[in-house]
Amino acid sequence: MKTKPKVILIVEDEAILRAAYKSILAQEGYQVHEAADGQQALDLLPRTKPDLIVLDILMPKMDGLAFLQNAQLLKNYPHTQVLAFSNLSDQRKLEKTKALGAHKHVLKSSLSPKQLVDTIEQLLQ
Amino acid sequence: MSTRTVNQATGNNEERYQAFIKNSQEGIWLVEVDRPIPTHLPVSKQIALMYKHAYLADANLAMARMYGFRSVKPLIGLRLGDLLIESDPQNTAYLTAFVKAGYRLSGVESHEVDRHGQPKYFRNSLTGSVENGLLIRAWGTQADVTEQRQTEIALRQSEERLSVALKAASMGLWVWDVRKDELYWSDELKRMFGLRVSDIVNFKKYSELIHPDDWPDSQAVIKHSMKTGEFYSREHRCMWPDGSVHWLLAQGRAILKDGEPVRVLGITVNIDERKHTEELLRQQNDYLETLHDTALEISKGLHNSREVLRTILNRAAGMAGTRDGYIYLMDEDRQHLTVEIATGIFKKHIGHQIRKGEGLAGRVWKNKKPLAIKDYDNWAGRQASFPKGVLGAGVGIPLSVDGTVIGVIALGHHQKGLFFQRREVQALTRLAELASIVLKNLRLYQQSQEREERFRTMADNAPVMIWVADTTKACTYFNKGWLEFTGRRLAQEIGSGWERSIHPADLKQCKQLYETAFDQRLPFSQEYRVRRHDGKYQWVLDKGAPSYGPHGDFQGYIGSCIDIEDLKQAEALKLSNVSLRTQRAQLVALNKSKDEFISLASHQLRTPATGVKQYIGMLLQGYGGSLTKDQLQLLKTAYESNERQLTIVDDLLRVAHVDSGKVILKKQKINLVSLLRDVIREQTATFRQRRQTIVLEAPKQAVTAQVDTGKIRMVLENLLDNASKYSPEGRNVTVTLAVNAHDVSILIADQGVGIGGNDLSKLFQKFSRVNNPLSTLVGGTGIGLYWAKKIVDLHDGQLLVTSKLHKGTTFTIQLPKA
Repeated sequence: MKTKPKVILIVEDEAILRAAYKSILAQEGYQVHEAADGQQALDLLPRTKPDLIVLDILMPKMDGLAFLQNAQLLKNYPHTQVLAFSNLSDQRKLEKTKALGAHKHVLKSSLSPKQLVDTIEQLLQ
Repeated sequence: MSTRTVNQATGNNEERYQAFIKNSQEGIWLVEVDRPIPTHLPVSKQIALMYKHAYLADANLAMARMYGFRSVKPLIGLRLGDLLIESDPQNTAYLTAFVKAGYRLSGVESHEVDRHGQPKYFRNSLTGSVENGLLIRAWGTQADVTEQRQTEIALRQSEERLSVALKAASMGLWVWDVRKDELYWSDELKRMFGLRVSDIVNFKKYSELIHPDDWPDSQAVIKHSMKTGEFYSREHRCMWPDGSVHWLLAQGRAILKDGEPVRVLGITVNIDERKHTEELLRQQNDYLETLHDTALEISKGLHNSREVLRTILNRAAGMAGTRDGYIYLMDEDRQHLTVEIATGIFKKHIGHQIRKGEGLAGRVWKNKKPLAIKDYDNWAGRQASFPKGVLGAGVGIPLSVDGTVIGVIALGHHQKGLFFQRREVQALTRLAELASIVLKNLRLYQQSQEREERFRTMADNAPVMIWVADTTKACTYFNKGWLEFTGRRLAQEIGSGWERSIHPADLKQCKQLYETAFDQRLPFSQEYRVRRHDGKYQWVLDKGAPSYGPHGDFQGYIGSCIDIEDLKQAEALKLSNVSLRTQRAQLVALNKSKDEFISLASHQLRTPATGVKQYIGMLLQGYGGSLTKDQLQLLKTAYESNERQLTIVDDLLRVAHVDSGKVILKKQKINLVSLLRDVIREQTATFRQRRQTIVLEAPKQAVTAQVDTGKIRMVLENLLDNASKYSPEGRNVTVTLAVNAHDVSILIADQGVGIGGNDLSKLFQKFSRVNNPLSTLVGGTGIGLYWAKKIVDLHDGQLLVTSKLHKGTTFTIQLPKA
């Protein structure tokens, strides 16, 4: 990350949280892109080619699951890590994100900024 | 014309004669001949010569008028043929008579025509003048009798017509000239008395021809008429010479002159035909009356088939004027006819059997037609059971139903010479038709009686209540089941009496439904309450349906009721079951929606709390620049408060999850010892803060179990957290892992505040909080233990608790062995 900043795409419909994550991750030296829903994220994918996507699940327009389905990350962006990051505790839905290519699921409310950074760093290693 | 007078009377008398001739009302004429006619010639020749040579030489005015002239002039010189019709045989006869009588005739009629061609009848007197064998002239007088003649002809014609009419009307005419004691009989009348036309009838003979029984009255009416001249009309019989008797209608009257009978005129008509018809009608009437009486009599005795048969037989015998008869009926096997009933000479034949085609009855059976035998003794089909001399004549009439012979009525005359006439056979056939219908009805009646009997027996033994209604909706029958149930008598229930057994609150609807269904001939089913003999109303289920006869004729309704009181009660239970189930479903639904609400609420609550956490976290963790120690402390408090809120939300969400059944365990075989060590190590810091110690007592070797590690870890964390929180500072918590025969137990024992007995039972309830000195301080949602127990339960394990107030509490997790 010292040499070439890793690219992170934050997909989060809640603007306050999106801003907080962006602030935190930018301060940590990541190149951060934002998307307010699945559709925006999908549009940003070809241009940004993110190393990691912080993906909310419950979103308007296109939710996280639909995004994963449409993006076909394993095929098109095999190196992109996905952190499913939501306040959802519906286990079945969470299982599904894993099946669609999410590498880890973390409850949004359970991570402090530092813990979030730690989690992301772990995934990017 | 008086030629003689003209020739001889000259002088004084001449004028008187001329006047006489002129004024005479009689025609007077003189005929002369061109050539004298020899009198020796044959008459026809003479007549032919007369027509040829005779001419009218002179005539008076009366003569001219007779021929339609006003004067004599045109008459003079007319030839004989102009006056007499030559072709009229009467004229020929007239001239013949003239010749044969020596040329002298008087009072002879001639048939002539006047100038208008009108026929004329004259009475002539004439004299011929014959000299030397030659007729040289003739003179005569003639009177016009045309009017008289025509009257006579008309009379004769009318007499002829009368005669023809009388003959055509088969009327006999007789005229008795009382004074001369002459009796005239027309030919037709003679024929009516069976006489020849040539037979002479006088009064004595006449009196002998009248039937002796009728003679006195016949005499009396004629005598009466001879006194009064009144018209009489009388029917009487006459005896023909051949011995036969015939009926005549005699009508007539006496013609009186000065109160004395002069003549008696009469006409007579043969009325045999009418009498016969009358007799037939009378007999037919009798027969019809008999039929009617028979029908009446039979219908009274319908319940008794023997009585019916006896009635039929007696009536038939009476009709045919005999006392001997019997009735054969078909056997069950249809192989024989058997005498069922018999009278008179046949009495001893009761039970006698006959086959098809045998004897009289067998033939009647075979041919399905009546059979009358005039001379039984000499009949080819005579049965040995009737020796000669027993039966004179016999008749057999089939009894048949729908074209099938079911029996034979047979009658006999044992007297020789008597036999059954055609009309009697016809009448008996009618009676037999009636009897057949009666017998068929009797059979149907008996069958229906039997059916009714069978039905009642069946109905009375049926374990249901049965009722029967007729076509007027009135109930005619209730079975024993119904009567025993209501404790009432049949007489009380029939008609509409049953209504008193129905619960008043149900009656109106019950009747309405019954009547509506009845009118539409529809089956119905309804429930109502019937008063039992003990006064208690019981629910019954009544199913009714229209009943029809074998020919589809509507006969009423029949229904059965079953006591459904128990069913009703069961139904009530079922109903309450249903409502319970419904309530439960509603509760479940409510619960679900509550769970969903909690889930959603939790999610929604998390988001802002997450925002707070992130921003305060950023400040605390240096993403917002450096802060003072005090500032950090304040933010830390805020952060923790927010954390507690998140915990509560997490708890709520967890409970909602576990309640909704959405929790899926991801069980794997793990070593519980290592799990416990792990959890305790993580908790050590917390315990240390409260100067509490935590001790694990577990076997050295691995203890395995199939668990959802994450969930069990949370249960353990929860229990350890509680143990710490509800224990004063400095106390110990002991965690023991024990391996039993069938399960493994994890005991977490504290030395804390303990829980009272009442509270202990509520401990695992949702949102329950136990009031103790520490609970307010600790806070909490009261769902941790509830969730923990649910999770342990999902593992087929048990979460148990024992506690002693102020001494401490021990939770035990029992899990199945792996």
